[in-house]
Amino acid sequence: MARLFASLCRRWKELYHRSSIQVILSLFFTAVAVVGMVFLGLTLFLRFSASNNALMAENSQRVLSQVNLNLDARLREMMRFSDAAYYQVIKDADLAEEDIARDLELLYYTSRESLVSIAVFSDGGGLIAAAPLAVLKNSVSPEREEWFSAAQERIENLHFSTPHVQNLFVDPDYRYRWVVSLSRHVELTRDGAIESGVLLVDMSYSGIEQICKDVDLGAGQGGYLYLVDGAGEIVYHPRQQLIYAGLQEENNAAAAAYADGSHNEVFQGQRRQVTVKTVGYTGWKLVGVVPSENLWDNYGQLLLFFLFIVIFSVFLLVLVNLRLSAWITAPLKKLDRAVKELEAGREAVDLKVNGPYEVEHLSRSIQSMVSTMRHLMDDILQQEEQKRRSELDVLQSQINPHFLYNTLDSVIWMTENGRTEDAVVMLTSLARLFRISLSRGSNIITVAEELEHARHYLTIQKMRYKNKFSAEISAEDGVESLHTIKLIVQPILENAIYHGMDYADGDGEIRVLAARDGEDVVIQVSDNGPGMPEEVVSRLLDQGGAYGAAGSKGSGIGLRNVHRRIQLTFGREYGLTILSEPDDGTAVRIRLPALDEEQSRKYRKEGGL
Amino acid sequence: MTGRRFGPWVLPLLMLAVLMALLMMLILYPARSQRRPELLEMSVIFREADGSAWATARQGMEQAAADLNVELRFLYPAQSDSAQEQGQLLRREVESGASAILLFPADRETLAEEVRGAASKAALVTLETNLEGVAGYVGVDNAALGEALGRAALNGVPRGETVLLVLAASERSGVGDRLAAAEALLRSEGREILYFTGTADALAETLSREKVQAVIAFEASSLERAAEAAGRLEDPPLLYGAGSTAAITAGLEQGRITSILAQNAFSTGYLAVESAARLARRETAEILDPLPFFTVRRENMYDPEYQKLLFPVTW
Repeated sequence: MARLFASLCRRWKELYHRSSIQVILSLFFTAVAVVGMVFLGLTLFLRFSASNNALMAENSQRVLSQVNLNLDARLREMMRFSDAAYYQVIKDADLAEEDIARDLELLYYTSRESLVSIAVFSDGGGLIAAAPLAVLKNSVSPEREEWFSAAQERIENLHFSTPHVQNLFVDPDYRYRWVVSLSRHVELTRDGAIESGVLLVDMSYSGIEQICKDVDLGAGQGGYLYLVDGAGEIVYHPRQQLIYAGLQEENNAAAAAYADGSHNEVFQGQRRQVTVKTVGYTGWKLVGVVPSENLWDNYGQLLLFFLFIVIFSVFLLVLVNLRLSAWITAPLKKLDRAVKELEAGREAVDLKVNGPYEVEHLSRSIQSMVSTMRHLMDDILQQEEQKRRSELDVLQSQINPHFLYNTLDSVIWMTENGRTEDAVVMLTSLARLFRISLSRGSNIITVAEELEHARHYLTIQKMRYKNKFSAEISAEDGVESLHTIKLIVQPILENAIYHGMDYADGDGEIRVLAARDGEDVVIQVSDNGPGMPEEVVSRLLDQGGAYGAAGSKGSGIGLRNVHRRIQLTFGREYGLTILSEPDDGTAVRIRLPALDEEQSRKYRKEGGL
Repeated sequence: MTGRRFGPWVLPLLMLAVLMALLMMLILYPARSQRRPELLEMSVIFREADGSAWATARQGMEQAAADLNVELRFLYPAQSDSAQEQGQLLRREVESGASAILLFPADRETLAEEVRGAASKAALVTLETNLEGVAGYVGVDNAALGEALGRAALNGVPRGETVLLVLAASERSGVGDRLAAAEALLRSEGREILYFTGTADALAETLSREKVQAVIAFEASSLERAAEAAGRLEDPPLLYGAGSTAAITAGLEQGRITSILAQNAFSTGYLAVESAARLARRETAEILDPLPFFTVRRENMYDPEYQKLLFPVTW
């Protein structure tokens, strides 16, 4: 049981976590409404059932009271008839002188509809007079009959028998009729002497049947009424012959013990509402029976109707609840969608949601958080950019100090030696070099300007190195108008001069060639210097290698700076490629994207250098 | 439509379906008080032209018909004990579409073919005489009843004396079975047997001529005739018989009949209709045991239990 409960709890939790807030709201709204309606409906239904039962019982009692009145009237009529026979015919007649048969017959005909016979018997059971049949059967002994002995035992009372077949008189038509006998003790006068006798009035059984039949108990729900005497013997029952034949049973013995009023009983597995009313004087009991199953059958119809109403209401409620929960959860859903879009990376997301206070507050908070987050992200990007620019600045600034010092030193030396013209040339080249280096702060210049920068640099270096080497700069048509980041050729030339030309003796050669290679521009700087072994070449552009130690002459830092600057600006597919063999010179290829004026703006703008 | 979009509509749709089902139940499911089986047409074919012998059984049939919504059609042959006529009636009723038939067969062999044909088309239940191939029989054990009658006669007839048996119209009937059983018992107990068939006058003449100690009649009408004949004799023989009409009870009361073996005719009629109705409606019907019979004499005929048996309550 506990395991089942735990399993149910777990499933409920899973369902709860899987379901949307709208579904949960709808379910809870509906569940609460249904529970309320069922509770209210059942209360009303049970109340109605109780009222209906009470009403049925009241109705049965009312019907029984009416039947009782009629039956009582009929019995009193018989008692009055008996009184009339006794006091008007028998009491004052002297049997020795008068024949009362004629008077009894006349009296009989006044009530023949309700009577079968009337007879007077002597104390010993001898027939004194009778009407309408007057011949007693040979086989009959009235003094042995129950009605006779009852009248003799309680002389002050009138006695009603249970139904029996009237068998006293010879009937030529062999008619055997069921009767209820009313017997009483009478005083007979014979020759002036008083003797005891018994007056018998046989009531027609149909008189009782007429009163009790067709009584509608339980408003057409199969109810019926029967009559029992004080001992529980059936006097009348609508299915009397079936009971006598043993095809049906009745709970008459128990009913005789019931007090007046309504009772519930179970008889042969059937619940029944039984109402009892005692008939005055006789001690008979009228018993009204209404099978509860039939009441419940009607309740079944009612229950079905009630269920229909409940489910119809629940149906409407579910629809309303669905709309209501959708309306309540709409702002939350909108906010949820906006957050999901934000998660997906969309920038222009509308986080403003109108709704209840809590949802609006949540919306504003999320808006504020998103705004703060974006500012923080911008700040981080800016900081990153600044860091990159600083790095580039550092890389770029590494080019200048030695060269400037050496050039100015050469200019001083030339001036001191009277080589003013050479000094002018050198200073002019230096000035042009710096002008191109500055380029009004732009990091992007044309290939032509870059090559001019290289040319001025070579002019200065050739003067410093006393023309130990020759240099040639050339460019394919259309290449010079393309754009590149600045100061990428000069560090390679510097490297070629320091490592390739330092030991040359006038036969050193440096060639710079700018050419188009598809969508790229390749500027190749080649020299005929001593070259490098493969392992040196492979480590030359390695940022963390032994050749990476900054500051040392010939360490290759200039190459690495240029390589890194190109890759930082254009991406990793661009940069330097070094081809060298010992004693076979070195060629450094600078690969750049072929940028026209328009395309170069992007880098100019982004880089800001 | 995706599951998520369809989900919220599952509950309302289910409830709509339940609503429709409830509505149909409300419309189609009547209250118990309104529920009654369909009217069933049932024909009752008697053996005798005069139905007075089975008047009480007819009351039971009518009561059952009222309880079970059956319309009864009572058919009497123009001539009593005419199996041919019964056969014609049976065929006619089957052809006219009777759903159930109650039959008091006059002769097993003559009716055998008609009964087989009728039993295949309608619910057929017999009374008084059981037949092979018929689903239902409501009545007493005829052999036992005949034996009981024979045993009753043994008490009043010394060994070697004569008992007159009123013959049945056909020995191939329930009444014939009773006779055969009584005859066998009486013969085995050393009583002489005389047979008789005819009117009350003829019987009276036979009884005045022959030395007969007892007479046994095996069904109501012959018992009535025997009682009438006995009433004409100064020293009538003992009279035993089966049946319980008003004339028989009068004869019993007047001493013309020594004792009778009576069955509850009201029950017989009621149970026969009930059994046939169940068969016709394809309901489970219990196979009925033979009904009991009671020995009633003048001394006990007004005892409450026999009073209820012999005199049906009539309003």
